[in-house]
Amino acid sequence: MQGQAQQQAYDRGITIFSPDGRLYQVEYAREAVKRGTASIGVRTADGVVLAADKRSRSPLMEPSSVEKLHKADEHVGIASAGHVADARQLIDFARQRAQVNRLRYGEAIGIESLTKEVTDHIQQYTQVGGARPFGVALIVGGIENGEPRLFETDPSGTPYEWKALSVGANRADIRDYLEENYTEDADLEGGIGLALSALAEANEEGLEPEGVGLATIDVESERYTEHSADEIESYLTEHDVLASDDEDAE
Amino acid sequence: MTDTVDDVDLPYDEEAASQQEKIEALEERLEVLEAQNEEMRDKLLDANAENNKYQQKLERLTHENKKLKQSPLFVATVQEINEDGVVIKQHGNNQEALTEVTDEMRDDLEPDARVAVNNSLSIVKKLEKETDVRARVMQVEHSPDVTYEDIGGLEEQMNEVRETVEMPLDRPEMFSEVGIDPPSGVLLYGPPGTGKTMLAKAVANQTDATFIKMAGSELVHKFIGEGAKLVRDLFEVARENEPAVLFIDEIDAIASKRTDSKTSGDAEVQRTMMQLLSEMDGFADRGEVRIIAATNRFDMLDPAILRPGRFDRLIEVPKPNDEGREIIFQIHTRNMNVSDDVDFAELAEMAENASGADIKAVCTEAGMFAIRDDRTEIFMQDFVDAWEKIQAEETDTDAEASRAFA
Repeated sequence: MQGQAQQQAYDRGITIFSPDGRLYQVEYAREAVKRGTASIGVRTADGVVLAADKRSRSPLMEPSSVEKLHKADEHVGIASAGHVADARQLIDFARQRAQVNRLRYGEAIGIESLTKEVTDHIQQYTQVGGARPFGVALIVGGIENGEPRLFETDPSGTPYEWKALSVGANRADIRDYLEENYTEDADLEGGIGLALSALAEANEEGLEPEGVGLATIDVESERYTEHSADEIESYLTEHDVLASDDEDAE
Repeated sequence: MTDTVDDVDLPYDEEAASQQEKIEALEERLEVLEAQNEEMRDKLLDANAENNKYQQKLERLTHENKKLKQSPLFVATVQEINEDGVVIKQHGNNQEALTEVTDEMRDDLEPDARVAVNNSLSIVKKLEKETDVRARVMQVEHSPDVTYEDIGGLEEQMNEVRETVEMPLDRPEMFSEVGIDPPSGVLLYGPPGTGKTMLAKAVANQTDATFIKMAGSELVHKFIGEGAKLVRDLFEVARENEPAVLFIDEIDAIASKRTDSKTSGDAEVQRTMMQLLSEMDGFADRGEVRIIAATNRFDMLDPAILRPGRFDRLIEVPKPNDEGREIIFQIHTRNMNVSDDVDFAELAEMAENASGADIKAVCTEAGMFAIRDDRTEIFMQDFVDAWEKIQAEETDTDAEASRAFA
């Protein structure tokens, strides 16, 4: 009623605060993120795991074209959730910044610095008139000075560092699962298991290998590696979350 | 008949009859005459009675005639009573006048009483206190025919509502023994189509208390102050007819959060709500009035109305779970001609996220499918088809929208 009337006046312009100090467009952009499927990041002592639910809408769609996991640099991977087109813009930007850093300083960009450059970029779009915020949240993970780091960006341009997190749909449920089952001393395998089990939380019937994206950046090699469907299938079977054919489809 | 005694028609022959015969004949004649006399007397009484009746009727009709010829009386309110007379203020033209009043009427009057006055502004009679006719009309005369058995999957919620409404009426001694006041208000909230209004209907059906129902938007009126007056009158009617149950449907029409409003219309609706708050738990005693309210938009409600003391119980009425859905399917198909192969458990599983209203729609559609096929029995396939039809109507737009997201 009255509250809504005020919202309508203030949610038109991105550059206007509401009387209670909120930016409604940014909050609505967060809603757009919820429409994307889940993406999960887990930091372990041995490296960072990025997993994504690549649910495709039709068997005719090529699963590889669903862009959830991206390589930003040799040592950095990014998982996205939300508006695909916005995500591509940000990934592009991150890739550019990573290369500029190499050219300028002759070294790989730090994960924290990269995240903050991306979030500063995102923030600009919440303060400039005529533009809209990005409707995407990113999980930036990689190795910095031999240490695994994991960060989150959201449409408001706020960076947070995490030990394990999820963005996109079912965020609350998956986060509860991660909070219950995360251990500090897990190894990379354990991290993969945790990520896949968390992803399975949201999917009652289990996960299909083609519908899951999995990437790791391990401390040893400091390289971003995407896992193939076969590898994923073996992981899924190992952690008992593989969807079986004889389960009822409905 | 003979007028005088002189020319009496003697029943005997003057010369021929003996003394004895004469006496007998006379006695006979006397008896006959006496009987006739009785008859006449009765007839006279009857005629008198009828006459009385007609007289009374005549009087009544004359009186009515007089009244109809009389001009109507004006309505006025008593302002002040003193030794000189009574100060009245007319409704309508708001003119004040000092008028005479008979002694017995003077005792009856008090300030703010309504009276009827004639052309010369003398008080003719006292009128009853004015309660808004709209409030009186909201009383439910015929209870709806929804019973507690017609509601499926809401046992917990039903129990809570019954505890609040029925138990204090049936067993007040329990409350007094324990030493608590029964909860006074119940707020039912939840997604649309989950049975909130239906629950209130079942309560109305079940309980003997006066049931007064209204929708929140009925309190929104054109003139300022009318909404608040209606709320006041509503509670007045409830108090007069206590024990009463007051059901306010769609309460978020008036009870939304108080904020700096932009238009005077918004402010007026808020004022109506404040009157509601004050009546529910204000200075005056509310009496034996229980309040049930229903809304879809729980998040929009003002916190002042949600506090204990106003709505003691905030009951969520969610979409039903599997068992609930199964029960609801069974309820709706009670009078339907379903075949034996229809498995309600399976249907309940299939119809995920369906509310009670959705399930009713599915049952109706299933019946339509059967009719279309010229059948009288409804098969399982009809239900499945009906569910898909209902589903498709809902989720078409979503599929398109989610194409941009991954």
